[in-house]
Amino acid sequence: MNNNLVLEVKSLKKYFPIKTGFWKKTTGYVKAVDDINLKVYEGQTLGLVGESGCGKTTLGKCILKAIEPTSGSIVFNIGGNLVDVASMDEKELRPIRKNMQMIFQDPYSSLDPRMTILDIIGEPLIVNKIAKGTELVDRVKELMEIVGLDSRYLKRYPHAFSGGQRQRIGIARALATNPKFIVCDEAVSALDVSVRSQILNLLLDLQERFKISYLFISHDLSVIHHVSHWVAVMYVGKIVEMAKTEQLFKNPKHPYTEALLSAIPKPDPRSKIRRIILTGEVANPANPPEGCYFHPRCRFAQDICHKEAPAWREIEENHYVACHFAEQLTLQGVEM
Amino acid sequence: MKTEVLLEVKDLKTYFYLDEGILKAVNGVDFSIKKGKTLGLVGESGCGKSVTAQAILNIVPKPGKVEGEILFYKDGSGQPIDLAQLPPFSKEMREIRGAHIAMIFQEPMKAFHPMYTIGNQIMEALLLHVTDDKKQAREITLDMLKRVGISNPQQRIDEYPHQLSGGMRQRAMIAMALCCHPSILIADEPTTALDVTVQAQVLELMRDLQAELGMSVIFITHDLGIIAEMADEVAVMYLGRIVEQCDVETLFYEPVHPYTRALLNSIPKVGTTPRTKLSAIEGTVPVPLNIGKGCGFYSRCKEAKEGLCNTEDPPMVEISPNHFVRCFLNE
Repeated sequence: MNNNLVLEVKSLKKYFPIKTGFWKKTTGYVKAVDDINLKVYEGQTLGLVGESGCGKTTLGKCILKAIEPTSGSIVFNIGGNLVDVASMDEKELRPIRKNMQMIFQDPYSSLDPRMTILDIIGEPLIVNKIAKGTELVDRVKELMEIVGLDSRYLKRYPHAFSGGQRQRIGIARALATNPKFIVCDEAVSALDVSVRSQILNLLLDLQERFKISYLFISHDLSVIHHVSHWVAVMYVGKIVEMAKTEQLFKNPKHPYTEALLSAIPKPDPRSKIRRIILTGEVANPANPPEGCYFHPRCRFAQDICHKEAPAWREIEENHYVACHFAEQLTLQGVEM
Repeated sequence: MKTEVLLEVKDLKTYFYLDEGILKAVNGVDFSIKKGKTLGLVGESGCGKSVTAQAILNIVPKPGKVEGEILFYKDGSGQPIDLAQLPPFSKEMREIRGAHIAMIFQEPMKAFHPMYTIGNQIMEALLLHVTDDKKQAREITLDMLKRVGISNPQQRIDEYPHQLSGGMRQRAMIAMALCCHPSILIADEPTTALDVTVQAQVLELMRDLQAELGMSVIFITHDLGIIAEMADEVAVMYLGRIVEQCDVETLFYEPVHPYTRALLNSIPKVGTTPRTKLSAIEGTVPVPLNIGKGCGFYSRCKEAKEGLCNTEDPPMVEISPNHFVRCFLNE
């Protein structure tokens, strides 16, 4: 494993059993995360983009062991040591947890309304036995300043703050333990447009300052483009394409990526991008199609696509894709 | 040839009289809707765009009070009806609402009653405004469902809202809004809750139907990308007032108001260099409670002049043909 990889995920699966009938017999599986490979480098952001139900939130939770994966490996580089957390139990995980944290989408439900800001940001320090007493208060004040909050508001409750400020509190809480890796799950989606930019700037700042890696989950491609070094596109539990940001946007190799890119409304009335409108609905992860999951909606689908799932391969340097025809297709990217 | 005006909003105000004081959600708004054209109403949370739509349809919740004129030229005829003067539950208002001016919302679950089938709910609008014949209403409904791209309309018509996906519910809501062929459609953030590929489908559907029916649209959103795509003319709202109004190209290529410019500069766009800082607007949108005189944007404006911008209300000025700006510094 590369020295500057902070996370490597291999063949990760999370299947949720479907239980029906009086005896709750398992009749099938929702394949929420279906054989995923990922790499995240130190101090860099991997953007994970996909539509509702594709499994991106489940993937984020699996990586942090907030839920138990079904199989696969999740290897973190913690101070030079490679640690596979996939099979670790709670006890083994506890001392490691401080290295990986999460920022949530909803600034209203992710903060306990009955805890003060001091309590909220201080909690990880207490739980991980990092600080207590006056040292804890100092550290919390420091974190508040770092995220742009006035440290005089230490004893206030979440309801006194706006959405953007609450998100900053959530970020301060995630930073408290000096993590090297943070999962940002739609961290700016619930914020107003002008506040969104402030928070994105803050996240970029923190990354530069503290060399934090982010797994940035979002459905918003403009935001993904703005913060990511690498982008992975997810569809019904599988990653269909992964590449460096500029590469993916300029030169997509998978038809789904192409459709996603063309669907972004551009703030430019003179833009002439031909929009690819996908027919049909997103495949059902409890009952995905045979072969390539995307074939029913793909304008290039051939016989082989109905029968055989495409292999995940490196089609050119730093550009991975799962499509039978990736070499032959010339797809429309985004004008830069 | 002068384009026909269907709706004229003059000095519209909607004030909420609360215990804490007066909340001026809409504070003097003027615009007109022309036949077949789309007006984009853009602004962030709390700017008053949704309340403006509610005022037009006379559905502003209590304790809101509407003032000003909302002149609707119903049959393209000379004499307009002032919707602001009609009691909300009057026969005249109910006849207009749904049949002549319709609305679609961000949350389709809010527009549909969970305990009636979608067919039932669409037919209700038809039976109220278009026909007495149930059979005919059902046929029109089936046709509408097909038009909006819902597969298997024979089956879907008898399904309940929760049985449809988000995208399908939104289409069903569009079917319900358009089944009576309104001359004006108000769309309040209709695609915000949808996935980007579904959003693309719904926007295309709206454009097609608009062209087919010759309908005018008021498109309310905070998404500037959608505005660029859908709007002919744009009005930018901030704190209950329109701060800039012009055609869509002018807005994106020659914006004048500091808020418009700041907003355009602050959004992440594919095409800008990744991982560079955005020029964010400092501060947050104030709540329009007990606000005094002065420009609403003063507290966040980098160009603001103390003593001028915070003491007087800037008037709306036409700085070039059809380009209106509300700013002392840009008259």
